Amino acid sequence: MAVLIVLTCLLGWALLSLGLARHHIALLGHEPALQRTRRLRAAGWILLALALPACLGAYGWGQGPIFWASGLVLGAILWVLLMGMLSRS
Amino acid sequence: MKESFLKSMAWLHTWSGLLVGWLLFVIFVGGTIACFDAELDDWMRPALHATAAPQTPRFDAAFALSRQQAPDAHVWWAHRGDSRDRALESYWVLDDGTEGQVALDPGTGEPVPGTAGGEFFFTLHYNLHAGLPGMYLVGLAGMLMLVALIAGVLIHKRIFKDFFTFRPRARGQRAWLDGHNVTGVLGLPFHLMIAYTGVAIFTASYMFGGINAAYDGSVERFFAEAGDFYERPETGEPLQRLHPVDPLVADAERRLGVPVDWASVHHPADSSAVIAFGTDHSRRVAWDMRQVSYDGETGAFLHQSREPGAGYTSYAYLGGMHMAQFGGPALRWLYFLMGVAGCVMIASGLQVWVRKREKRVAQAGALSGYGLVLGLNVGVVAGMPLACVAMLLANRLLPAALPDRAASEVAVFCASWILAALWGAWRTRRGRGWRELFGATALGLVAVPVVNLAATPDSALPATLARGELALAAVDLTLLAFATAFGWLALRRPGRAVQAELQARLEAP
Repeated sequence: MAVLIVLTCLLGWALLSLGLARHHIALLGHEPALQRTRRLRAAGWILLALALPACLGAYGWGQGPIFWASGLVLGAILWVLLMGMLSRS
Repeated sequence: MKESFLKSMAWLHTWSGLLVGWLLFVIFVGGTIACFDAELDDWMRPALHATAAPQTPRFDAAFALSRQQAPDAHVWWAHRGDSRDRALESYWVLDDGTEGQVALDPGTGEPVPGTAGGEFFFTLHYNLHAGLPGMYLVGLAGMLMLVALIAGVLIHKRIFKDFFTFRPRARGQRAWLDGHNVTGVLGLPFHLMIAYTGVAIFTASYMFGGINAAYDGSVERFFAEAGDFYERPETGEPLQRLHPVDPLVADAERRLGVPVDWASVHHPADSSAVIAFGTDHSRRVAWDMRQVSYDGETGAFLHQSREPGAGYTSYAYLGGMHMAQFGGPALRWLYFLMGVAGCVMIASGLQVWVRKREKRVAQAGALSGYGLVLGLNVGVVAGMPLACVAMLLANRLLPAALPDRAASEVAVFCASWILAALWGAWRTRRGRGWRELFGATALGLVAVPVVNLAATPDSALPATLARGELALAAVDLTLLAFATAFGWLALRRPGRAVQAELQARLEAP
């Protein structure tokens, strides 16, 4: 379950970063349209937010928020490392 | 005004970070390893592998040993073997504060070869094995870490713009600064939490005004009252016979409503002896400090601590959040990985300091402030991991019958760290210290599972995987993963900028 939460957060951060022109270009080679940027960012935020109810469901109110925060931190760091490897530079 | 504020914050971040950076690195490495202290304890006692801890604890066997070793101790304490760490541990504290510890086979009650264990890293983490002064030093480092974190956020001008930015192939300080920023900014919730709660755990010792006024400076009395622990004064009369402890466990578990994790006997030689039981902290974030107490002579029930008040529960929540005893292995892994990120943040921050002053560092002699920073950087950041690996190797290679084996493991740790630091400091002027120490660490990390297989085949990967003892297997596998990382660090091709710098340094008189 914890792995799933980290992966969900990683995906959320990935979509959010692709919503920024700079990372979109680095990863996919071209500038995103405005519409696409908005959709990517919205999807990213929604994934990060959805991870919270998942944590609360799995670990309860006492521990769930800590798992969520840990998932956000590790998801972000892992994505940035991954992006460093995937970037075309 | 704004410019000068940012400048002073930059100054604060640079110097508070540099001042305690090496100490913080040691604390972070220790704490990161201590996420799995019980699992490492278990790994370091191969004599117990492939056995299962019995369903009912055998505290009396542990106390029989305490009676031999320390008949008139201040307190005997015993930890039952559990799923994380099988050993039955017997522990005692004398009136003068000296402590002793022996691990026993939970089935037979026989002592097993001693080890410094994961416990070594836990103690290193909170007091550097230096008692009260060490605890104060760690507290100071924790407070300065909070200062450095907040100042660091304030001076980061592109904190949102560069939120995801990491350019590992960039030149000079750029890559290091990116690494420092990414681990610092993205890990900030964890770093703030862990530094704050870490300092909060010993707040009663760091801010002692209240304790001095209300408890005559006795932190123990404060905690006994806050946790409602039962204590009674010694009578001076000898105890006739200690009531057997194990038969009381069932009653204690009924009263606590949870399995008993440990038992203690206070002043076991005195007729005022008290037997107490408590549980572990695995069920909720806040520590569960409840105890039940029994008369040492008759075994009659004496006291059960009440549910703690809101203040103490808040404190226990902060402490519990730091110690990560809740949430099972999943949470320990999350904390471990975030701890690694913290180590990288500190190590890369120290690198940024050097890179920023590249020219001056290159020109300065070995016996300058810059030389000291360079030496400490390589000695601590590259030296400590090598020392940890050497200690694990010593655990498997030292003879089982060696007297005071735990101390020998610690001696290996210290000696290899000193040697590594000296080697690194000497070689780093030629630009080789880092790579050589990282390379040696990578080789050592590969050697541990191999030596494990040769010296203790029943504890090595093929056997532990076959038996499904995943925590033991995870230690070997994690070491191999770290071997890959250290190997990459050692073999990575230096960037052009670095090569130019090395050339300049070699040509400098």
